[in-house]
Amino acid sequence: MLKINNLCKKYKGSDKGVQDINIHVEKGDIYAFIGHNGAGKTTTLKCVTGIHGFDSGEILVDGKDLSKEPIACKRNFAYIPDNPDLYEYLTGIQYLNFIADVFEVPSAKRSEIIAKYAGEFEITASLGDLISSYSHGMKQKLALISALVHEPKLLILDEPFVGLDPKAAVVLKGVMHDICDNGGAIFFSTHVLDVAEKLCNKVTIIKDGRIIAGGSMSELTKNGDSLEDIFMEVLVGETD
Amino acid sequence: MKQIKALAVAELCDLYGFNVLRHTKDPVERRKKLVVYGIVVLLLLFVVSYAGALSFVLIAYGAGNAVPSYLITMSCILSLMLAVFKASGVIFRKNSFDIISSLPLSDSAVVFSRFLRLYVESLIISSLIILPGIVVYAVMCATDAMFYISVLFGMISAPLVPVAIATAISALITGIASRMKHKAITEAVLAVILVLGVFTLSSSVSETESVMTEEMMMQLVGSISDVLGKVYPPAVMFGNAAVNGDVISLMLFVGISVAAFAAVVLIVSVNFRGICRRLHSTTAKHSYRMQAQQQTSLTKALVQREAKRYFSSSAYVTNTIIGPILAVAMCVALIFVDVNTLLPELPVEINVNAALPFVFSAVLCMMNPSACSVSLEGKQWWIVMSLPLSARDIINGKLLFSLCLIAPFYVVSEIVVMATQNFDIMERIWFVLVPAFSAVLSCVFGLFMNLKLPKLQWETEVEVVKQSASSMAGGVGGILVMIVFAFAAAVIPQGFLLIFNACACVVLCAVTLVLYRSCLRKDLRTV
Repeated sequence: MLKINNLCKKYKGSDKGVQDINIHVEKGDIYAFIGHNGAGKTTTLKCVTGIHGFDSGEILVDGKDLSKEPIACKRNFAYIPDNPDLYEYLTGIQYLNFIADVFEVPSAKRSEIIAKYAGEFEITASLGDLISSYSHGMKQKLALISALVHEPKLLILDEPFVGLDPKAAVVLKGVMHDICDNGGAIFFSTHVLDVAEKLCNKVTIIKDGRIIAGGSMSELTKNGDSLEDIFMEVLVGETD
Repeated sequence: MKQIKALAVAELCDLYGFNVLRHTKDPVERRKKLVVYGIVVLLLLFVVSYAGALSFVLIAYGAGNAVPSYLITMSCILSLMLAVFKASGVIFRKNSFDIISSLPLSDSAVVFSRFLRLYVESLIISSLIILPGIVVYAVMCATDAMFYISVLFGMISAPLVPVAIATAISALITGIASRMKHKAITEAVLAVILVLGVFTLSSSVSETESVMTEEMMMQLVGSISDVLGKVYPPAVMFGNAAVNGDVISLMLFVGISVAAFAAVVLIVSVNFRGICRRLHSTTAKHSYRMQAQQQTSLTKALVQREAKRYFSSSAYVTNTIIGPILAVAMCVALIFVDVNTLLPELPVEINVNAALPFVFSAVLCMMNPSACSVSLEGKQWWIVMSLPLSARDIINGKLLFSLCLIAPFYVVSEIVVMATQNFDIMERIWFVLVPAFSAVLSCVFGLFMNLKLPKLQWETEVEVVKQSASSMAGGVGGILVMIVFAFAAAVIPQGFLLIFNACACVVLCAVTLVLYRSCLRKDLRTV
């Protein structure tokens, strides 16, 4: 579903960036991408979603090369950043319709999907209000609905659980499982290691722009160590 | 005092983006900033030369005594015009309001520090006008110690009154708008009314001056002080202090300036929190009921989004709608005024009708909205970048909206002109074609400049709309080109006019095409 091969990205005038990132997200995967602040998670996600260009490497979405067919790739995924700055001058429903129009979602289909997820995330009544009046959590929920409105095969999320209330977090986990059950995949960054351990079947740990550990969750934790233990262990090991 | 100092440092440390230039490690960012500063320096050189030359001319015609008053008046008017649309964005800005509110700071300290920012910006502008003129005056006329003392105090005090007036007007507009449901639209309408009022007022002053130019030059010179006294009375006090060494006039000038400033700071401080709360609050009804949604085309969706963005910002609307409104006003004015009678006698024959399409185009295309449409995406740029949209989709959406905005003003102007002016058939054709091509070019040129000089990181929209390099270059560049065309059309022999106009249209189309292609080739991820 998503193949990142030897991705390198350096910011001009800075040492920061990512180097030799290799990640393969298969259909049905819920894939966690973890690392400390400034490790390169968001940079990687922004390269994958076409927001940033990259210096070398290859990104394939459902077999299509992001550099050569960016629009075809983007039709297959949806992305939500860690702090969703949405169009505050639109109402919630106007924003959802804008995204649906871009993805050419038919009227009946979008009505059905919006009604379903707005109900589940309990923001139906607020859809007629301007986004500028929304709380951070409501914006997060709206961004999630906008990501789901075109039924993406791949969902790319940056810190998706930050700002969500407990019920919405449960709904989101359910949505993630539904997408994977239907042949899609999830690739998300998080700091919440407990959630990653319980929810994901694969994980990659990044530090200072390089991958330092990764694999299937069951293999990593087979010795009874928690993901938190492994994370601290590899970070300390790398530092030493 | 410590609060004011801390806040003032925070306000002033990134004035004109110097802090970013100082600390950024991104060479592209640094280069862009230097280009912007280069453009600003060129504009400032023009202002400095103008002020110096004007002083020289006044002294040469024996009106040297009016120079200090004239310079103060000019600097105050310019400071007022620049500050009046910025004051609201600086003083009542939403950004950081919550954090500032939660800190143990008095409202008066917050307001004063924000005033200080406006004051320093105005001080820089006014110094650039006053200093060159004063240097010319000091060299050409006899001066004493009191002159220099007056100039020093006068220069420091000069921006206080215009900043105070600008803030008072701005606070009034913002205060009224904050009580309305549609705050941005109300603020924009009030601001447009203000601008049109200023234009009407200034045109009435110009009318007086045009009558005077018919008198002898020396009579005009003699009346300058009277005119300045009417336009800006404190300027005469400053003039008395600088030229005649009148200490009381100097004290009055400084006293009035400080008093006006203090009064406005006090009044705004008292109402600051109330205005900010009302201005930044949004009504949420929580009453939406799910209903069937309608699909629209991609182009329509993108244009509608641009329209929503446009009308959500009073600064954006105010800055960009003035040109089209003035264009319509100009066409209406043509019904009542024969432009040929306004022209002074010149050594060459002037064909006003030939120049009119270009002059109309210059006004119509002033400050095109596309010149800051990319920058205004700001932190939301990620949305279009992560969606399956091509550069062509995004660019066309922005251009189409700008054209849709100008189109009604163009159509109304054309109808008025066609119905009222005695143009021949060719003049009518050029009056239709030239503005149409110019409008398209101004939209494309504005977008081109914005893609070259984007500014996605900003605190207030005013920074983008009024202070960004793309807004200045994109908004003014087209006007300058049109003015050159207008001069050429006005003086070219009648026999060559057809070829000239045809060539002008071809050039406009060709440049539009080249710029449009350049926009399409731009990698939007690097913006």
